[in-house]
Amino acid sequence: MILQTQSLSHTLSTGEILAFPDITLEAGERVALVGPSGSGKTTLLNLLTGIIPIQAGSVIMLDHVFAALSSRELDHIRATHIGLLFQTLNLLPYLDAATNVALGVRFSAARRARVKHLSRDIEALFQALGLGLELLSRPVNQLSTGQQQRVAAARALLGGPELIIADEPTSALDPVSGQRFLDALFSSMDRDRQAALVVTHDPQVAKAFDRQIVLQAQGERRCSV
Amino acid sequence: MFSLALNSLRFRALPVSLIIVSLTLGLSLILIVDRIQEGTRRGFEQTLSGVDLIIGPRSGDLQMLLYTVFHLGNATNNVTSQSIDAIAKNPNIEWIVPIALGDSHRGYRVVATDPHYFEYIRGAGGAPLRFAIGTPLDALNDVVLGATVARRLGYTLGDSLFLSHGSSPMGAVHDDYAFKVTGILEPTGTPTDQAVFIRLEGFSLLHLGWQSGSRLFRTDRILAANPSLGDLRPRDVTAAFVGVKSRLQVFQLQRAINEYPEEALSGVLPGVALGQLWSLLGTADRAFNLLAWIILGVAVISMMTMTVTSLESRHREMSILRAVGASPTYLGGLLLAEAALIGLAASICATVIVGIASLWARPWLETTLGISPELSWMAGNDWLTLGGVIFAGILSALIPAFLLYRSTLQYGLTERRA
Repeated sequence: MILQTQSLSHTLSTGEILAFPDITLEAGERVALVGPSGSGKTTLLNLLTGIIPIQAGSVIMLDHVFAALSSRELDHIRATHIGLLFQTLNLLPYLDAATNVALGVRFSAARRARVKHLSRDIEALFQALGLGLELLSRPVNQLSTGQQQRVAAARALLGGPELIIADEPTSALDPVSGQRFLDALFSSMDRDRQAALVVTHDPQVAKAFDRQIVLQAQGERRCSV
Repeated sequence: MFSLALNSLRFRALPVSLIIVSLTLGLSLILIVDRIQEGTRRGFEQTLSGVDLIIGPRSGDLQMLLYTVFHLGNATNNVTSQSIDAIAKNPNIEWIVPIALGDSHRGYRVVATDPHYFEYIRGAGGAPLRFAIGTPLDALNDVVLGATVARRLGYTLGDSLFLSHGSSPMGAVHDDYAFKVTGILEPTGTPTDQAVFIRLEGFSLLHLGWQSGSRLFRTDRILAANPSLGDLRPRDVTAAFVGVKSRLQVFQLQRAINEYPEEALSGVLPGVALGQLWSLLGTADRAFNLLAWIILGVAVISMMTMTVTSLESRHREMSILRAVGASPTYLGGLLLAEAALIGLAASICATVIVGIASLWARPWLETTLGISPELSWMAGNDWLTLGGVIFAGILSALIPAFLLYRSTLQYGLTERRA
């Protein structure tokens, strides 16, 4: 089991309570997290990545119980076992593409140890994601949005984290580019049987996943598969 | 962390450069003021070495110090040689060297004195006066030049020159009597370098035919009488430098001079007079220093403002770093590292500017005050000041770092509530 949540809920500073369905995620499984704006998708991702503390319920990742861990330990788990992707603006604008990718293993010695040869592994990921090697040294603000998403995907995949979490990674891309991006991402994940939890608004995108978890507006929470 | 901070700063080159410029200005101002103050003070103090007391007409201590030692301003009155001779008999006195001032040569002051001057008066740091070439004053028309005078005017041994009446470069020239360069002193870093030395008798000869600033008759008429050096001994001198046998006796001697019954005299302790000068300049010094620190303070506050305001626009950058495992402490540390790098850059720029300014200040001090202080690139206190500024820069980043730490812990990856 890669990830398991139970009775997870979170009270926002506005007093609004977000209650989440229980989630289980096995190795190699790809799950879409679907829901309207304000349904708490981002909050859920923050909880699952240990960025904000658990208030109620439990999150267990690879036998680590988040509630029992310190902030530092949670940072370490995120750095070692999770690859994160945002909707847009995934890259540090002052670093070139290769250095942005290398950030993926910067904060975890364990994840860094899984990388045999940093520059070669980055090149391999670039090729797997359909990026030309000439882009490696290019400043990221000279890349197209699609190229930037792929560079960010390479960062998330570098060092083989067990779980890829992505927050609407295709929303800034047109449907064809979005599908091509997901194909490249999943193809790269196949070798290490990495699990994926991807937030998306697009029902067509969601269909490409093994199953879907639907978050609904406050007061009407349920999980459908 | 520092490489990431450096890249981030380079990306925000314009605002960061402006902050570095303002920090550099404040810091340079503090260091330059401090350096020139210290250099000037040291230069003045070194100039006084060897002289225990100055005897002159009754006047202000500071005024007498300035015109006799630093050749700034003019004497208002003279002292009779008779009084100097009488005082020289005081058992506490080891040596006494009279000087007569008033003439000049192409803007450089003429110091008429006796040959012992070169034996007793010291250069910077107490080093004895040494001749680069030639010998001390001997004949009536001998002239010894300070190192700067010889260098700037291109004189060498055997050259002839005329002196001007008064200290103005436009004054009437004593063109009826030429002096011959017989010695050039090594540089001393004191007003000696900018002085032209002649014998008291030569000075007296030039002025026997003058009255009220006008020439009544030429020196030829005096020389025709073939006078001895003794005949030409001046009746008045401007002042006399005194060395005492024991420093303990200097106050007793000063009192004796101040109470000298035959003439209204003043005995001035150079160190005390210099103290008066520093206390006069102290208020201006403090005001200037305060202004420099205010400028620096404003620069540090600007840096803090820039860091705080940039937090909002850097929220995504911080989210990315959090996503790859950076802790809130790391992000706070990143801001502190950026502040330290800004402080370091400003310190390096300020050090270079101050170094260049010191190179410029030295000849300026040499020309205006006649002192050549050692203005090194880095003085002892500079390290403290530079370290303090880097530390202040880091302190200024503490508030933004704390805001960032709290924000990332509280709001996670994407909510913009920095």
